[in-house]
Amino acid sequence: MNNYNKEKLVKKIFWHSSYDLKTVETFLENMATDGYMFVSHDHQVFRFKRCEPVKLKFFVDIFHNSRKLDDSLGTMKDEYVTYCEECGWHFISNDGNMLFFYTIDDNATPIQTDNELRLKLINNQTLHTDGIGWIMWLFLILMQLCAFDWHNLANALIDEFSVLCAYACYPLIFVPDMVRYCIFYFRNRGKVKEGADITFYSAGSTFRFHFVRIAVAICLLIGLTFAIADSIYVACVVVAFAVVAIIIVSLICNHKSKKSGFSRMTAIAFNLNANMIIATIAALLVIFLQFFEVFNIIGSRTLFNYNATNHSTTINSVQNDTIPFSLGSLNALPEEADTNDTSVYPCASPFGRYDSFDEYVYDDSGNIIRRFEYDIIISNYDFIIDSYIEDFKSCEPEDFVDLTESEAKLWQANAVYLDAAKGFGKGTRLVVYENKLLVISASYDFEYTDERIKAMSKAVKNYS
Amino acid sequence: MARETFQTLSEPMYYVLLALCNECCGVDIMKLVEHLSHGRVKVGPGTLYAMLDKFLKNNIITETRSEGRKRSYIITNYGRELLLKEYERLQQMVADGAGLL
Repeated sequence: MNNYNKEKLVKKIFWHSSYDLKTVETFLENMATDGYMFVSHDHQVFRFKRCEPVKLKFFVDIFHNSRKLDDSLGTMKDEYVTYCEECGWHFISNDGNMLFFYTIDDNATPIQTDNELRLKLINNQTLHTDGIGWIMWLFLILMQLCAFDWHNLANALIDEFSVLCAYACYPLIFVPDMVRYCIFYFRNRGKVKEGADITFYSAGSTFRFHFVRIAVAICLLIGLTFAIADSIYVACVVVAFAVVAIIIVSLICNHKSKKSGFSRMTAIAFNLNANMIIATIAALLVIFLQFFEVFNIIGSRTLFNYNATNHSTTINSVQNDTIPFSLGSLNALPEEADTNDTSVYPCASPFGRYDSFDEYVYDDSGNIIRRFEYDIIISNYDFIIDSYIEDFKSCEPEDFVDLTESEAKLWQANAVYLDAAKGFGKGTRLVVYENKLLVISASYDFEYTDERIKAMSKAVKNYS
Repeated sequence: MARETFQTLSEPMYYVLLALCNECCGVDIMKLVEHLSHGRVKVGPGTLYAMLDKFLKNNIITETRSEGRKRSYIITNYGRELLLKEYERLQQMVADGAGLL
């Protein structure tokens, strides 16, 4: 049974945590009853070969010696397996420290009769396989939380929605597993001391739990790509990063290497501890860099530059439909202007839109002679609009001017504010509409004439 | 009060040490334990393996022979002392109870 033959194997994915031993045993027993004999196991993938339906009893044991890379372990494990086989248990295969046995004798003595010891082995195994991952995820989330600007949380619901989804979702993938394990361990710790059996989670609850985890992981992926201008592009970037990270971590931490028994990439004869330290640090660095880089890119909207639409035009060009207004449409192009160039940076989420428009005007020598930038923010949520307004107003008092009385009517808006120190030129204006905001900066020589204001206001009101 | 390791022995430990009063190996230990306890105490191979490893490390038993994958053990003098202490402790408990029960 140790070496499976070359006949075609049936693979089944069965989601379980490393401490769901009883659930796995029941799964294997049911499969045997259905005519599939267990052959080998690798993480969540089980391999079976077809057989006559048979009633078997399975036992998933954890080899007590965690130094699985020690050369002498092979002998120890063989001796251990011999003990079990002498009691009627047949060894099938192992996945790391997890050993799979079966017996046809319903009354065979269980391999582990000391529940306290079994719980201790489960605890060691879980901390060994999952503990590092939990610590790593906690480390990643803490780093990201520290880097995030929580004062602008409401703003981030539009322009950093993907990042927020990631912050919300990926702890949901690993934190429940930590909590679930803690409940399992502490619930059983007292019981086994009194001689009771270990209570494992049922197959049904295990299935539901992992189903929810997978659903959350899918939501994470969707959230990362939702409402960004070129979502397919972002999705591809995220998936590419994830695949690269998984491949690199697998290469580093692959413990099936024959040469060292641990790592393909550190296949020099380091001792066990050095190997583990190298692999752990390397895995942490790779994953941290991958995720940090991805979310940093999304968070800083650098990625959006790839989504920008550039409209290079001559000075007499007709305004593009995607651009609400421009210097050209406002008759504000200087005489010496030769070409102008407008970049559009769209950003959207379920909470609204944040579209930026940057226009540069060049003379015939290619020098920038005028600059014109504006953002249009649209949201049906008052708290988001209010947050942007508060953010704008949080400037030096001497720089802030409330132009509502003088300009609100012209703009046909609820309020108009100026931050003289923000942006460039004469500062930045914030025009507040019902569920829209216009944030505009222009070069010094741009005049806010009544005509231009009305044109901009009309364009913003019609913009959706 | 925290119990020191081997200050008191659990039932399986006690019976395994009893079985190892004479040289014994592997599955024979398990059978002997079951026999000595009249079927009441069963020790699984995994539990036994871990227990023997612990006893070896603490010099409670010693390996006498090794034939391929089969290894035989016997209790040491120190192990015998521990076993005797446990036996006396259990006797004392029975005696204490006898007066009242």
